[in-house]
Amino acid sequence: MTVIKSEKLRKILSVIIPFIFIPAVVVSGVLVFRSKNYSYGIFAVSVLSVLLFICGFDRRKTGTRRLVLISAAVAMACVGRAVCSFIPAVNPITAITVLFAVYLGSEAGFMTGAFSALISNIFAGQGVWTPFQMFAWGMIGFFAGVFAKYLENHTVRMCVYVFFAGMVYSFIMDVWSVMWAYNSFNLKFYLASISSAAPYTAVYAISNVVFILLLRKPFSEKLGRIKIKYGI
Amino acid sequence: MSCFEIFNPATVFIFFACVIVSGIFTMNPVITVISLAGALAYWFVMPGQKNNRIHIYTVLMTLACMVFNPVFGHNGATVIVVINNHNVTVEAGLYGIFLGLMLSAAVYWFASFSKIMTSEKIIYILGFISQKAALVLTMALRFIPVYIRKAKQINNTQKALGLYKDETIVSRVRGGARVFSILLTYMIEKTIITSDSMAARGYSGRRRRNFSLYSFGRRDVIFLLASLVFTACTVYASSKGALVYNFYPYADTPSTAAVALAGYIGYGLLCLSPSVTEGGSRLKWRYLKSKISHSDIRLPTR
Repeated sequence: MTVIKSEKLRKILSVIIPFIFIPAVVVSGVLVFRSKNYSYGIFAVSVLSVLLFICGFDRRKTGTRRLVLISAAVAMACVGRAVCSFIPAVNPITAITVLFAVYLGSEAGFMTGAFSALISNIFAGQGVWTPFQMFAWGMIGFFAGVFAKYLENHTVRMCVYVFFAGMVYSFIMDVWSVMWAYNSFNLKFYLASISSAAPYTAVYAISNVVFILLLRKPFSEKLGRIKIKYGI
Repeated sequence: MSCFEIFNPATVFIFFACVIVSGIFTMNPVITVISLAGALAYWFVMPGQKNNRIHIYTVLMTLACMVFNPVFGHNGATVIVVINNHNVTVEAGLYGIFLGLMLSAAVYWFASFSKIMTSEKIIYILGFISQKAALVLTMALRFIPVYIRKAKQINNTQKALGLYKDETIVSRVRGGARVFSILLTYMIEKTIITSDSMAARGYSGRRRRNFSLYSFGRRDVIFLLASLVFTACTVYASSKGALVYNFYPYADTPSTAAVALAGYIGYGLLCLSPSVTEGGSRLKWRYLKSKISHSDIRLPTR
């Protein structure tokens, strides 16, 4: 639903909103929620940066084929998460996001990661963590797209990337939980939460590598082929 | 059916955003208790199937916070016992309980939120920000059941052809990868067909709008205004510093200044409003039904 009809006003707003609205929301919130200012700050920044990405995606011209391919990738990742849900801490979202990002670019990667988090949480349960998951998986996809040149056609590098992406993902989520509970970066609690989550983190990082080893070949062949055939 | 089904999703979304954000970012035991009470009240008033395992989960979480916080943190002045040169304090325990209750309140609010905000409502909300994102979300939600069905078909075909057995874990994983590879080919070809047919119907032409049947009526205006006014009370009290509460070194007594009370009352009304709305609509329905049975239904006369 487009609320604002005037094209000109929309253009002005699209410039003003990111540069005035976002700092305003963050600063006012930090002033209001004094005793939780740090955690509010990082929460607001992660929500708004996801929104900013989505707005940028909306404005840019994306081909129809690319658009449908992104939604197919999101669906694929969600099906993968649902299929793997009986094993704790294992899901293919990182692997699929990285593979799509490498072959379709960083923007497609961000969208795949962020929307996979949003949609799979409709089934797995939404929570305060949803914006952080969207942000973390989106960023994993975004950087995979940025480093696509080094990761394409190179299985070992890609495995290393997803291994560290899996670890960084867990660490980011732990940073959030510690920041929220203690409103400051308390190293002791952070180490405690990291070490209690260590088995999950390890399983997650290794399962990502396994997914890449299994899926990289079909992905590179098939996405490479349609890129040539249809010029996406 | 919840009475929030007929509200505009934007109203419901703004209400939940207000409750959750001001609840989890205000560190005050009174606010936390109010939030938990409101969330529980709505959880019990809300109609429909509910997963009662959530209570076990929240109780365990609160207990875990209560135990782990004094073990890892040694702030606080009232020492109970010293273990290994490490002070176990009353304040750290109190903070743990408070943290657990706060987390539980958030869990209950999010459980109700997930129940009310179904996927089509999330798409509607996203449509305000980006048409394209809403489209991607819609299509992805459509593709999910298609892929699940297709994956089952492929799996059955592969098994019937005798191409893999699912006896050991390794063979199952390899079989799964094989099914995935076939599904990927299907998905990519179908994507191209879908997008070409979209282009043929003029998708890439002019600006688009999405269509929905949600209206923004009087009840939305009232509910939205009420939520915003109540939130404003809380935010005002919070920005005046009246809701600041310190656990360390000694736990404070919650402030009872007029500003703080305004904050508590505002937040209390905000947390109660969904239960009141839901309960009120149910009472109204009972009342209307009682009227029907008395005046409108006439027993057949012999």
